[in-house]
Amino acid sequence: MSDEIKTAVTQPSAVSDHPVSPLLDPVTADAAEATGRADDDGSVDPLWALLLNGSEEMIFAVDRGGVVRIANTAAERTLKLRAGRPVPRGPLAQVLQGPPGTFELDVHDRRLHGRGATTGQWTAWYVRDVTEQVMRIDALLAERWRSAFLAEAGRRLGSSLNRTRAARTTALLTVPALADCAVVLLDDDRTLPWYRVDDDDERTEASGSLTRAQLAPDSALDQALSGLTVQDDPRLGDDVGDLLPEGFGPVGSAMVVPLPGHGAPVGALLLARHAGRAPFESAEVHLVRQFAARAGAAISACALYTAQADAADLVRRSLEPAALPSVPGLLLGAAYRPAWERLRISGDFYGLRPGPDGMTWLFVLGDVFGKGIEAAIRSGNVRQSLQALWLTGSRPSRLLELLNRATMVDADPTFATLIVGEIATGPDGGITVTLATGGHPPPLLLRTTGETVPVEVTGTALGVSEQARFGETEIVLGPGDTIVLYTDGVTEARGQSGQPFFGIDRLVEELSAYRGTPAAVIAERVAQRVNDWTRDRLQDDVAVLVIQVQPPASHLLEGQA
Amino acid sequence: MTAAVSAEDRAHYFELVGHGAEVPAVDFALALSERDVAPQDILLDLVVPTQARIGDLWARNEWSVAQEHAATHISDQVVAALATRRRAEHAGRRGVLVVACVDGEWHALPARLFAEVMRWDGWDVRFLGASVPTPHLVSYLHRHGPDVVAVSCSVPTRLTSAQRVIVAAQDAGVPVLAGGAGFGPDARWGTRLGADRVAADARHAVEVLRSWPSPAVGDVGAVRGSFVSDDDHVLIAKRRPQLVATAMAELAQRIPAVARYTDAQREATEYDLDQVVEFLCAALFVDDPQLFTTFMSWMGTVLTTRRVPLSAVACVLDTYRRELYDFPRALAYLAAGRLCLNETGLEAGAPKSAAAV
Repeated sequence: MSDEIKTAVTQPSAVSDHPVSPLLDPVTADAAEATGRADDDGSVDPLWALLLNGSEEMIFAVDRGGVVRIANTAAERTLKLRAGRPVPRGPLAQVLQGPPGTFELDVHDRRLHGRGATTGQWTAWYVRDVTEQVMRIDALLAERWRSAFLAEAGRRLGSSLNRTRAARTTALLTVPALADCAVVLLDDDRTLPWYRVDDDDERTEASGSLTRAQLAPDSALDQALSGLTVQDDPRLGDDVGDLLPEGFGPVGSAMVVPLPGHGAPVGALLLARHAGRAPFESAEVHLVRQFAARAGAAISACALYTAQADAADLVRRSLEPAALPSVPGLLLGAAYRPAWERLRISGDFYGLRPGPDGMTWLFVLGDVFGKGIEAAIRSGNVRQSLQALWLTGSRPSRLLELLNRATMVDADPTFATLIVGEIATGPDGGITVTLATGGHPPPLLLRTTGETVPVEVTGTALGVSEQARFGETEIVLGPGDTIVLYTDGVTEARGQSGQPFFGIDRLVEELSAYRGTPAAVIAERVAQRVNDWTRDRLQDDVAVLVIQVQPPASHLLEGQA
Repeated sequence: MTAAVSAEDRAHYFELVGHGAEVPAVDFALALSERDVAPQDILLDLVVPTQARIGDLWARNEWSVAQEHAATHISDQVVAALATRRRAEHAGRRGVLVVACVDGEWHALPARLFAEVMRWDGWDVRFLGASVPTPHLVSYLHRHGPDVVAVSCSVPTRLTSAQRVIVAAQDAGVPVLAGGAGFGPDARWGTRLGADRVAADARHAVEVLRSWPSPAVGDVGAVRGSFVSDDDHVLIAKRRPQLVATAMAELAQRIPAVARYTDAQREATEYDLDQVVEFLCAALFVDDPQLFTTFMSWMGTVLTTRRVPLSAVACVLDTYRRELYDFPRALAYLAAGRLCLNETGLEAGAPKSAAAV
């Protein structure tokens, strides 16, 4: 191999004074002694040549005139350098002209990493071919980018339960990472809403919808909606052209992938690149399909969630207590705190509505055994039955009898306690309330005179016995007198560990402090006081209904301060 | 709309509210509206200052809690009446704004009032009411995808709830505006908890939302990363019952009257002691001792006007300091709270002998 080394040495002394490499420094002198110097004709000692040629690194020296003075085999082969000749024109020559240092350069499809060191009149260069290493790193980075992209996509898609938002997120994630324009088309049977993002100067969003009839059979979109991926099809540009923004220009490459859902595809994802951009590589196609699988699952989950949440919302709204009407001569107040808060409904209920004769008002407050949605639905049934029975114009005790019998017909009778009542205005303006109870805690009567007493009525809970009998009582109310109806969630509210039930005594005490305040304030206060008692942890539903005879104006709060 | 609410108007309205004169108070507010006072000015310059004054009167024991609640009820009626009477022009042109009180926040009036002001400013407002359970709010946001959600918190002890709501809303892609007295001076704890925008009051909120043309969730990663809180507030909150019981026993030993308390008095005291721990936890949560010291000054006023010796409060704080010896931040806050009691000078003026609540 030694014969392959050609070295031209114009200043032989330079070699010994300035060793080629500082690393070789300690041995240079000895080596020069032992083997002699490079001759004037440029030949190098065979031992040196052997050592240099054995290196995979390209090693060479260039003088100030840009002429190669020494070059090992690797440098000759890869860089086409010849001792005694100038460095061939090109990017390498330019780099070598600069000051010694490190460089990174692409020559003939190879990535080179070089390092130069001044050695007197020459500059010694050590150049490595790092092409394989760089490719491995690039591949690793690309793979890492793809993983990160999918992870980020999963995170962002998973955080939404809104289908529109998920579709939008899908389009946003792909631009500009995967395409210059992305359109998500959702399949709503007849209509096909779409969301588009394109990256022309700045990222813009748009949305609209197509009808199924606008889709040509076997067009790319139609195929994607039936589960096929369409890519690099010459017709693709025509098929999807309408979905791209105006002025997008010629499409370089495009693909349409289905968004798989639970069952049928929930839609399709269209990706388009400008003519100037590289077409989709196979790794990218694979990535798009993995991404589409995640996006489809997310959009599909959103649709399922929305359907269920809408249904639950409908149920909730139909079961929520209706707003209290305004009744001449009366102040009304109510509070409602379900323990099972997710749907904010419970088995407690109340209501007040005009009687069939238009002269009286009917009211109810009750508590269906159980909690949450099941109790709420059962309470809805009880309320409906009661509303129908109200039309019969029966007295409260008779209403309860009928309601109890209607309940007992069921194989699984609803167990409930409740109070029903009728409010009638006498000819003298006095107000009479007739109450009947089915096993419910007795309402409290707050007289303006100062007493707070329970209204005792007899009666058993509904859903226990067909023979149940219900008592009735009549109370005459004066101005400012107040009746407070409540469910056992109030009195049986548990305090913090070690504390007893809220109990009737605390309720009476609280009500006494609020005597003279409007019905709405009393109702809200009872619920809040109970909530505070449990330290915000209601174990049972709470409902309060307060019926108050309008007090004479401006005497509300006298003597309170 | 040049007319404004005058000091005489406020005095008159306060008089009406003080007498529980609901109908005249509502009529008065509507009459102002007829006089071309902008409805938002009626709420912000008449109702809000009156509510603040009422709160002070209660704190100074000049009004009963029932009076305070009755007055709040009237304010509620005024808001409702104005909302019905004065429809917004160009309603909803600014977008959809959801307004909700955080879980456990039952003070709905400030949020309700805010909602109406925003409606008059052109937002399509969906007011979800008091104490909206976080899952309920999150479900609502996912299904309806509003432009912004405004989170209201009136009491700092609900800040942990507030933080859960903020994170959940942002995860649903809905940017959050935080507001209400619970978020502290200039709503700064709202920023601490990662809200995209904060507003000190309703007027400020109008400005904030107007200067936020396309609301979007900001870079929350940075905020959440910097919001490092240890678990002290959780650990201490768990010990609330024991802490209160220990402090109660200590009080009974030191102050003979406490040992003779009726059930109601004892429960009220326990509630106060519990509040001290709750505010301590809230302060630890946002890492700001001022939350705790502000509460202690307020409590000092409330208790002094009710002839409770502040030495009793100091005794409670000392008990908590003994019990929480291994929570350095809590110790520092309790010390600051105790200092705050001294600095108000109330302690010196208060009777040293025991007195009933």
